[in-house]
Amino acid sequence: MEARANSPFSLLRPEVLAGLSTLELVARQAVEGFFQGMHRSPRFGFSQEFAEYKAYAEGDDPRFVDWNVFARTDRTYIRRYQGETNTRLMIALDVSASMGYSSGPVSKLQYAKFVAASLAYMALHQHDPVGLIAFDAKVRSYRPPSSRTGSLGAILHALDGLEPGSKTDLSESLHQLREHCQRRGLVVVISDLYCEPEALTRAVQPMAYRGHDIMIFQIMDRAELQPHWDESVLLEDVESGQQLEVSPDYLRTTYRDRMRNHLEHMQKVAGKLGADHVLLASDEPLDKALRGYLMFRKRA
Amino acid sequence: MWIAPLFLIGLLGIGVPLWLHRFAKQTDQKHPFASAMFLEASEVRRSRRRELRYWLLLIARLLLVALIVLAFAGPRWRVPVQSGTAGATLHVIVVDTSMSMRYAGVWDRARERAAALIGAVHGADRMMLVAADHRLRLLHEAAFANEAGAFRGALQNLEPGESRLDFGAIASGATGWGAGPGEHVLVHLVSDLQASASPLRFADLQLPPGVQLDLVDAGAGKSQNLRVTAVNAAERNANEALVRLDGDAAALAGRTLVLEVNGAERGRRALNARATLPDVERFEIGELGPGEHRLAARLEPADDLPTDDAYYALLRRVQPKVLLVAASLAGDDATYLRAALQSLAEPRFDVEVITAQQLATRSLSEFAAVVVSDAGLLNAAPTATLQKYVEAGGAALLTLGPRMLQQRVVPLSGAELAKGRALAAASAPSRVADVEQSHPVLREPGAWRSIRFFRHVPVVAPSGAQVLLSFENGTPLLFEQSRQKGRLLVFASPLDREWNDLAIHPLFVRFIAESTAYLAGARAAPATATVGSAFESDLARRGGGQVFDPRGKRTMMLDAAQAAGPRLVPELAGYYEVRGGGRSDFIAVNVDARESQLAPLDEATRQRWLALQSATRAPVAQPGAPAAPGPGAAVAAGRDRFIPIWFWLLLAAAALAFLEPLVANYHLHVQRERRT
Repeated sequence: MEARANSPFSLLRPEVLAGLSTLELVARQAVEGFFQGMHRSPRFGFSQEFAEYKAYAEGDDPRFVDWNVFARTDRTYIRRYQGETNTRLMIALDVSASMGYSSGPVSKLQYAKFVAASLAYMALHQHDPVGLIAFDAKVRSYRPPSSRTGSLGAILHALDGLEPGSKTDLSESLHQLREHCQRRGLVVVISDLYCEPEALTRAVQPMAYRGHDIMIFQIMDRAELQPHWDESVLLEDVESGQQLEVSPDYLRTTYRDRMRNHLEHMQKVAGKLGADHVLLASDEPLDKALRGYLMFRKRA
Repeated sequence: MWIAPLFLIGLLGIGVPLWLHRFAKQTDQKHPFASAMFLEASEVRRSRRRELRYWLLLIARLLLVALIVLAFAGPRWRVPVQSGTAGATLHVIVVDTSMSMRYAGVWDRARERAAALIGAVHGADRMMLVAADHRLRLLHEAAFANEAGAFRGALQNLEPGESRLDFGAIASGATGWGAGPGEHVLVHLVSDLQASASPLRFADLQLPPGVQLDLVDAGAGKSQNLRVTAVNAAERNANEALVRLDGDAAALAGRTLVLEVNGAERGRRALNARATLPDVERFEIGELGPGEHRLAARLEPADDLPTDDAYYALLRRVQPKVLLVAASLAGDDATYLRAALQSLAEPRFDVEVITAQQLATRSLSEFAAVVVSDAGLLNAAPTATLQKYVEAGGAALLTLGPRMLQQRVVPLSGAELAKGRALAAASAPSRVADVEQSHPVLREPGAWRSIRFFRHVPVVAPSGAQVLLSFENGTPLLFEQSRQKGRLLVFASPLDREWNDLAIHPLFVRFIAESTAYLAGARAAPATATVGSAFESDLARRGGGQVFDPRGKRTMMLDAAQAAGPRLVPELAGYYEVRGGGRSDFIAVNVDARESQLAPLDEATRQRWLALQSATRAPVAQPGAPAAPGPGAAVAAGRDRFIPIWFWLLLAAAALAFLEPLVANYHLHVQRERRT
């Protein structure tokens, strides 16, 4: 979706966000901009919406006892709100060398950081614990899920320090993630998914079997989706260093077909695993990613 | 093959584009890409095409450098000259383009005859076209009849000039026409066959052995012509110009003679139809100021040969200032010398008399010459002044008087006085024995021998001096010396009546006046020349300059660095202008008077000329024997034609220079696009 300049979503455009100084500002700008676009308050959103009554049990917070119901029924119930259904959010961010590629002002990794920071900001305001794991061929950085004060700053600081690394090994990295995520929760994988569909299956399937909800954000650059050169061009793989002289005809036809097939395969694999697959181009506004997360939270 | 092969060293310059292209290949940009997972290097053909484009650019650049270098080296294309077939004939068509061919109808007739000759050549015969006037010009190389069109085109563009043809020049020039082995040469002379075109010696008309002659008469038959043969000033009256006319008296009727001075008409007179020719017409031209004046006489209306109806002359009016240095302003020597100098009508001297003491403080640059009545008057200071003047280009006449006997060396000259027997003989009467008659000052040798010298100053002529008059005992009386840029005449006797009787002799006035005029340069004749004859210009002496023909077109240019320029060969009658050395002068150029004499060769002379050729016919080759080489065989063998092709190379280089930026810019554009 193309955000227009006069639309509230224009604040979510990656090139605008890239001009902000810190990831916190980026996240706040993205999230608040997103809600303004939805005509909803970020402070009093769905988390104030009534969800259900629950019989008071020992250990429940007595502040949430509905005394009106107690007066009428002489039974103690507590009110539960949607926002109070806590979900552990684990963000798995691919920091391989291919994520460092950019044909415009924002690289894929930078865009992925925006997405991750925005999700973390939004989740922590719902009091959802947020964790982060950054990986390429192996895990580069890990922060366990936490909703304590200051955890947002820690997450953002960790995101800020990430740089493109080496090759990607999705299954190995997510295998390590499984070891750290024993409790059920939402796992968001942000990657360009330059791997075979079988590798994605091998990486994600065990987590799905454990009951994790999985959301896959596949980040691609516009030049990867629709490459355009007038002349034959010498292209170098940023991960392997392999050089190939490629004709514009090939890039216009065969390459795009292959890329389209790959994306479709990834979507099918995700569908089989019960995961959401969202394709994001690095020149798109972030609302698509945030909407995906919200939809998930509504379902939860 | 090459005119300047050293320029070929410049071919090393092709290394520059080679280096540039190697460098460009190294900087061929790679573009990072996220993953090669879906890429294939499948389009090799397109990649090759891109490289091929670069190769085209490289080739264009290499060619550009090579073409420029080759053009400067001056390559010539070697074209073998077609040789003739043994037994065939080489027809050399020589067309007279002298001034007389301009006579009404003659040139058209000559062209028709020449065209007919061209059309008659066929088979194995070849032909050659030559124009003849003061020089022979090859208009078309020897070729077969299939090139007759080119011959006709060359003939159509040909026009007669204003110079003279001498038939002897054709005879001597015929040796250069190369014929093939065993090929006969037949010269067709298409001309009006003027009698005045004959050389001085009849034998000079003889063509080389084996060359046959065919006289093709294109003349007008009976002709009438009136011409102006000279224009000059009258000797006794400087304000009068004389115009001389010659030709056929029948052409006088209805004609008018016009005289122009410096481009303005000064007189006009209808000619007397009954006058006898040659005739002289007098025109009053009035007092002309100092300088050079252009006098042109013209006949109106023009007759059938208009080129000789005008004559161009230059009249020089000079009034040189002469300084006379004497012992006293009223002395005999001063009186005699002043009277002698002022007796001449042309040039008219402006004489000033001073004493030797006054000479020391006088500036001499305004004087054309200085006459010293007795060199013994000169002490150190006047001598230094006079020496500086002479060495800077001035001229002086020194006479040696009694005071000179008290000195040992003649001032300024450096000549020493003789001693011993010569000194004793100087006191005895003597007469002139040897006279250098070729000198312009001494035109009356007999008169000199009648003058009595009672005494003289015996001097020894210094080395380098030219003795012009000497006594019986060999002692010089008059000698000339060069002093750097100036000249000096030393006369070893005073000009009074005590030492000789020269002063009362009629020769005295002429000698003094002529020698002074000679020293002052007043006798230098104005520059005149004849069309077609070489003229030695003085551009080299002026330190460079330019010459313009009567139409204003520059015909010669000489740099200051050039020591001597080529000689000028004027091709038009009129005034040529010479600019250089800070001044502008004219050369009066006239047609050769002999070209105006239109009478043709009589029949007897023609027959004698043809008979002269028949007597030298080439021997007939024996059957089976190798063909005898033709007259020009030695020249023709290995004589190829070289056509310079530098112009075409430069043209190709210019085209490449235009294309190269287009190709380069295209590649640059593509590179820029790929970078973005």
